[in-house]
Amino acid sequence: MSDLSRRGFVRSAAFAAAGVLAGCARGRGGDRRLVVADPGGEWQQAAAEAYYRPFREETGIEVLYAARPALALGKLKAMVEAGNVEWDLTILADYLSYRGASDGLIEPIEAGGFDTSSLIPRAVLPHFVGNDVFATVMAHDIRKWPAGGGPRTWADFWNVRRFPGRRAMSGIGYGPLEFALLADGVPMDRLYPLDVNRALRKMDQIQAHVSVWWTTGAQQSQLMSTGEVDLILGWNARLQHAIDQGAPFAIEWNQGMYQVEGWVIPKGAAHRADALAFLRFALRADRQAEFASRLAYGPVNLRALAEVGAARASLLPTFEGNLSRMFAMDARWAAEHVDDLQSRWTHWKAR
Amino acid sequence: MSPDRYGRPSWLQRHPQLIWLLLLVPATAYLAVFFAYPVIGMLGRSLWSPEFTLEHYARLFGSPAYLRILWTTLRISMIVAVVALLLGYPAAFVLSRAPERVAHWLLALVLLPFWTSVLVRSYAWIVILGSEGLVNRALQTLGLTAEPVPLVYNELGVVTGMVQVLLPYMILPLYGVMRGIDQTHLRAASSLGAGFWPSFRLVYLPLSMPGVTAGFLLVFVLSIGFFVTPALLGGGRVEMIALQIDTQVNELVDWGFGAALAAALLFSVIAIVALFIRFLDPQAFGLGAPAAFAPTDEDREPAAAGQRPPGDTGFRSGALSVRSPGFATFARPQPRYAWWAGVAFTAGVLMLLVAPVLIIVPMSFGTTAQLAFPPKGFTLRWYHHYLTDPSWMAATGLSLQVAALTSAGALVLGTLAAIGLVRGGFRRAHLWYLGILAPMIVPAIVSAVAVYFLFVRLRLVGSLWSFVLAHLVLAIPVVVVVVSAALRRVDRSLESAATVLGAHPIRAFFAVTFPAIRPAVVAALLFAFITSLDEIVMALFLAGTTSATLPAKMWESLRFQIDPTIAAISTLLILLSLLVLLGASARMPKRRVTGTA
Repeated sequence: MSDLSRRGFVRSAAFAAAGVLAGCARGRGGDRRLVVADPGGEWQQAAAEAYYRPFREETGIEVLYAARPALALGKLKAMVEAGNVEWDLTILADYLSYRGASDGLIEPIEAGGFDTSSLIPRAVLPHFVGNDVFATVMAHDIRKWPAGGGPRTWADFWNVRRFPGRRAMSGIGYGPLEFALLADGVPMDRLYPLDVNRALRKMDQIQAHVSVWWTTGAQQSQLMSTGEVDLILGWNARLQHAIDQGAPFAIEWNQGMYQVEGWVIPKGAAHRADALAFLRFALRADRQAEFASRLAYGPVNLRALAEVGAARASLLPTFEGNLSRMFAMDARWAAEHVDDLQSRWTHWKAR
Repeated sequence: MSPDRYGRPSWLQRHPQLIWLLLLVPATAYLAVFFAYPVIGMLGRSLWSPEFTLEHYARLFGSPAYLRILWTTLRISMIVAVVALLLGYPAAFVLSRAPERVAHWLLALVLLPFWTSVLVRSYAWIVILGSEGLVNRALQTLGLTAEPVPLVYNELGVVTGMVQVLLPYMILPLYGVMRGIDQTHLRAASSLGAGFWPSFRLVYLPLSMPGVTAGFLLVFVLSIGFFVTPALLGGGRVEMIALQIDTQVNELVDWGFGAALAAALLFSVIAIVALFIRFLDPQAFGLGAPAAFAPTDEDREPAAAGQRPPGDTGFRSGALSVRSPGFATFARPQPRYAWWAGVAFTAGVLMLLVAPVLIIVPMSFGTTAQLAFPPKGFTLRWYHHYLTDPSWMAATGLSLQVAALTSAGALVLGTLAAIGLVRGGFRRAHLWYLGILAPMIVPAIVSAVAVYFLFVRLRLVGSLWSFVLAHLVLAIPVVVVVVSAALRRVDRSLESAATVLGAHPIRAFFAVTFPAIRPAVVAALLFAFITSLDEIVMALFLAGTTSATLPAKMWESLRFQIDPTIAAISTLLILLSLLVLLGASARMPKRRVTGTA
């Protein structure tokens, strides 16, 4: 039995037994198909409605999608090194895409024919096409600090005397170093290169007052909705999700940090041309608006904001009133220094 | 084993070791191909990248942070294993003395948490132990404390959560061994005038040692790989090395340093396990004894020697085990209150086990889109969502098939290997044992990358069989630990007697020995099934666009938000396990009759 038919047999056996015919999807689109690895969950549901399904309707190209591990670079490296690249597209944060590019795991996508006129700056990089913008911001319990009385700056967040309460901060990556510097008085436009010593000294001051260092997005929502913390540093979409579910919190955009998340084509992907067509499709304002209407991520195409409606737009990171009060993470600098940053952060945390 | 027709001893008679060696071959070969080969390649990256270098180890040993995290990992795992032993030993003792029917239902309670994803249980603990959680609210209502007591987001929370997850791995092997302990030894001890503690310490404890070893090793070794529970319940304060390895492999793409961390972990755990076996349970696997003079059970347990009446085999076998006469036979000065204290303690242990599971059930009916207790409103929406979503159904079907195939395969390979290891009396059996244990010790992320790397080259990824092949690697060691513990307890002389009387060795094994280890085999099957059903790291790597297992799908839906669909699935799985148990117990009396006949 050939490899292909054996796999086909196994797959159909698996799905027949499960009473489901989803396994046939692979056969239907003929050779015109794309394999996309995304973060899964509600991200995937939004992408399916905004991109995958309409793309097939418009082009006849089937999009097969699957959730990838949280940090995809390990799996990407394994498939590139093994010479059997399963994915045509995947989603990465911009700083990870720099990382993947320097390790030779990602195809360059210059000359993709993208219309960048209405995109935010740095949405399209030589190996990366932005999809959405997410922000790391603070939120506070409005029962404790009603109407405008809450912390507005990171210096406030650090001020445990004026704002006593349980706090949650990021325990992953290299931690909240940028925010420590802001709390210490460094202006937003002079953050990079990060002064790690100064940031860690500032972290010393707040360490004892942090109840929880979160590691996942779901945890952030949960900390808010269970009333575990009064103040939280987290991702805007997760904070918004908890608020939508009734958690009595308000987001403060001032001094927030935004990052671009976007598509990359793995090195040696089988359907490069179709993948580029997909990227042009996904950058369209109507598609971007559809995506942003489902998830509280900011579209990279600013024209999409007009289409989602003012009330919704004001909750998104790329809304003018929000974006102008935040700073962009320097993805390239972070990618080049992330080993050192994480190592310093790990040492500080493990003391 | 009869001589051939020319009267010469048969090949097997001339090489009695060979048959045991042959039993070891399938599992060893399997692990060599699907585990050792890819994982050694992966670990090799810590030294060759591509030319020889010691820079990764220099960095590791030159930095206190990583050594401290390694130490934390070993320390927490040791604490978890000790706490699980302290809780599990008395509970297993009480269970093994309970009337069989009661014991079966209590064991079902012990196993109940298995049907709930570890991730879900971590969130359940937060609902129970958090600042606004059930315990703290109760304490504040009772006026015992004004401020919430920090029960979670610290080491206490991590140990509580991990012990809850791993306690069944302690109780089951202990139960299997204790159920097989011959009552007559104890009666003998007490008739010779020994009190409760002396007879416990001199007779019972040594006899139960194989269970202690198996349970302790399982819990300790499984703890090493934990990082979801510590990350969630430790509030980011308890860092386990697995999380660091994950970061190196998946985010920083520094496989060399990740491999160095993994290798350091692997060797320190192997060293601890080897020391543990040598000092605490030196009889394990004929350690140090020349093969030809491998001690028999009688030599190993002087207390047991010569006190066993000839027709007493029934007492040794859990499956056949005769209605236990109860605690009454344990020791002469009958501390009745001690028995009831034990029962109360066991009830407490069972509460600890089922609390986070039971709390999930009502939460699955809540109307809010997150786990809340007490749940608000009542809805079947999450059940409807699960049962009508084809991708959830496909994932469930795939996971059940993978778990069934994995457990069947692991049971055969693992049991054969356990027999070979225990019976072979090989000089270096403990090294072999450690080798088979290695897949449990190597951090999942490292094996996952290595196995994925192999499978993607073989173009195996995304098929049902890729999951089975990968999960077998993890399930075989579990079976070997559990079955070999039970096998060591079995009196070999009966089997020899059967052989001498003319039974074929294989027949003798199945007629005499197998019934005695049947409870352990069932436990091993269940552990293997659960190992596969709850496995997440490999599953995420191997998932293709059309195939994801249930834990992978659950993980995915928990990434962004805590979706109560997960609670509904857990509830349904619990219900299913109870139904299976009911069905099994309905059939049980019949089997007993044929078994004892």
